[in-house]
Amino acid sequence: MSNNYAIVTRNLVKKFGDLTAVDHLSLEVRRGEVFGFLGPNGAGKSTSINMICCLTKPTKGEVYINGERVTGREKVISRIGLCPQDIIIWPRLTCLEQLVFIGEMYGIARRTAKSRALDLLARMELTTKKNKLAHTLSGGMQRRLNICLALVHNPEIAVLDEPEAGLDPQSRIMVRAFIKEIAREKTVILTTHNMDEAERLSDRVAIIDRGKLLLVDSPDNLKKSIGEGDVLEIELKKKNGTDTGKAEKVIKTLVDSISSHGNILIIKTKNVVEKIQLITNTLKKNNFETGEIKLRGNTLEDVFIHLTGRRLRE
Amino acid sequence: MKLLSVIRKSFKEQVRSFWLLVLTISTAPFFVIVYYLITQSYEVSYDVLILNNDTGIQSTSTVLNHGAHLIKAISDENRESSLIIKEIHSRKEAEKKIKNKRADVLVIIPDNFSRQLDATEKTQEIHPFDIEFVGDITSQSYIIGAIWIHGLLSGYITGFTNIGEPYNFVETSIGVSGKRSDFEIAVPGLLILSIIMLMLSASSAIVVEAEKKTLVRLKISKVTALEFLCGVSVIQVLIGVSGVVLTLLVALGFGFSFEGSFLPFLLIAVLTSLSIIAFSIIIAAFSKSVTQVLIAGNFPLFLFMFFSGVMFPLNTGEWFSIGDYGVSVISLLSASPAVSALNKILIMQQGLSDILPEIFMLVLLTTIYFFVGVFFYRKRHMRSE
Repeated sequence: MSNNYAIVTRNLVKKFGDLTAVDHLSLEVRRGEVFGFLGPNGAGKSTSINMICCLTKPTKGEVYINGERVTGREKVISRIGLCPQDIIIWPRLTCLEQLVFIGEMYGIARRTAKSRALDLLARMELTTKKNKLAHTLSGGMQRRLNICLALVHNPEIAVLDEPEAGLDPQSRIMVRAFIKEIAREKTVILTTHNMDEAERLSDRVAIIDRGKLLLVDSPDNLKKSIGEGDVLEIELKKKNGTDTGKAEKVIKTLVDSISSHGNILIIKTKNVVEKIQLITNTLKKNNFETGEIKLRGNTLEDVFIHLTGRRLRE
Repeated sequence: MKLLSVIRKSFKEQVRSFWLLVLTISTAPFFVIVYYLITQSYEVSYDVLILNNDTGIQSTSTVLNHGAHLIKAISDENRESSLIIKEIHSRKEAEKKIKNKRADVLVIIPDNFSRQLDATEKTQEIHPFDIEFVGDITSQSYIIGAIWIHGLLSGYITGFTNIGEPYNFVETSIGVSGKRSDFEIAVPGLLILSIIMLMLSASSAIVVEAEKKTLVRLKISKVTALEFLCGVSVIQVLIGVSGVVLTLLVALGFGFSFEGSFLPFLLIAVLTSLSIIAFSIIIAAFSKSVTQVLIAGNFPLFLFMFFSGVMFPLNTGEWFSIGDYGVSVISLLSASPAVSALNKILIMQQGLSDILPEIFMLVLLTTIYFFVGVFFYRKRHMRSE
């Protein structure tokens, strides 16, 4: 197993009775990358994470951490820091107390644990709350503390399950900056429903649905290759009357999809930027005068919806 | 190191759950107060009815009726006791009162009572007569009342006839049992009860980690189930011992006199706390939430309370004995040897060497409970699902 990979899974399967929660998942997470793990609710993300962290036993398949096959929890304990989706804190301990406590549970000396705890609290802007009982913190602060608890033992791999859930925009920006910062020295696995978050942070993303891995690539490559492409909106001026139906016909052959709303043509096609000139020239040749032109790039959310569909899962 | 850290954490959490802590350690002292009030307000009495059919004998100018003399003598003698003696003139009326639980014993003095007694006294030979006792023989009050009145009748008869029993009855109280009130006799059981009450709160303290999911953090750390459970147990033992000491102080305040030695008492309190906490781990192992603990934990709690001899003595077939401690089915509940040991210390004024069999049983049961608890806790809570 190549040592370039922090985590490798091979044909990982988890069944709960008749339900196959994870179906032959094979992944390779490179060292030092931020790996986005995306999927609708119930897609099998958390089960996969739990199998990687040895919280759940796989029905079948293997997990390798830094090239070493994981056979028991002791091999992953110090290497992985898990920030669970739920806020899991000790409500009757102060922020500092619980960070030092969990550090000691990883076998770290009390003094070291305290210094790391103070550092993490400072980076998460929780220093002023260090002596406050955790249950007195706001939801956003508890979420930030939840992240600190995963990192106090300084793991090589940080698994962050929905770290931005429930955060206000300011906290989100701060947490995002924090994740970028830790990504300089650690491998980060990020599961999220927030496509914007995944796109901004991830070097590569994996999209999983119904337990199966659908795709793994960088967000840019996915946007270029998957979905209906970029969206171009062209306003037709009402000179000599506007016949959007006729306009649609003349450029239909140039694009993947076209529709209209009022006097606006809505065009969806991949690499639309390269086609803008051709489209506008064709419209002019056919006596259409164009007004405002809007371009919206293909987003990761478009890719996600394209792959997983619009139907609600829960 | 990790153990110390778990102890520190548990201590802080326990202290910060102040009202829960207060309620936990004050339940048994409250029970002592309630029990004291019950024993004070409930005066035990045995109602004896006497139907005097004695026709008497002619003595010079008057009729001598020994039946009437007997009633007066024993009534005067027992004015201060809980034996209440009343004369009645109709058997039918007396039986009706017994059936309605308004009396416990009916004693019928025969018509030849004075004649036969007088003849016995004069000839110094026994002239027998029948004294009939009537009552519900399944009733404990009947048994006690009948024994008591039998003793008084014998006393009167032997006093008059000068024909005594061929033996002298000598009663010696063991330890301080003769000086103990009903309340004081119950105190050893109440002290053990104060520790048993710890069962649900200790289970809750353990299971709360699973309920709040903080156990996930511990599962993926290096702490072992043994270290975690030992750490939590240390604090629970402290709470248990505090509860016992507080219960003892309250009992002392209500008139209980501590006659035994304190160190064996403390040792039994610590060992019992450990055993109850060890049993709590078994409950916690099979529960996923505090609610489940409160529902499922009631069954073993009641077993410990009512089937270990804590609340009232139980007679079960002895399997074998360790020293002079008889091991039976109830000895499988650690409260049973514990209450036996406390009775020996506090009532019989025995020392450490006398309670070694009970100590052995407590240590054995605690060890079994603990390892069974740790095994199942690890299996059900700490392993990968």
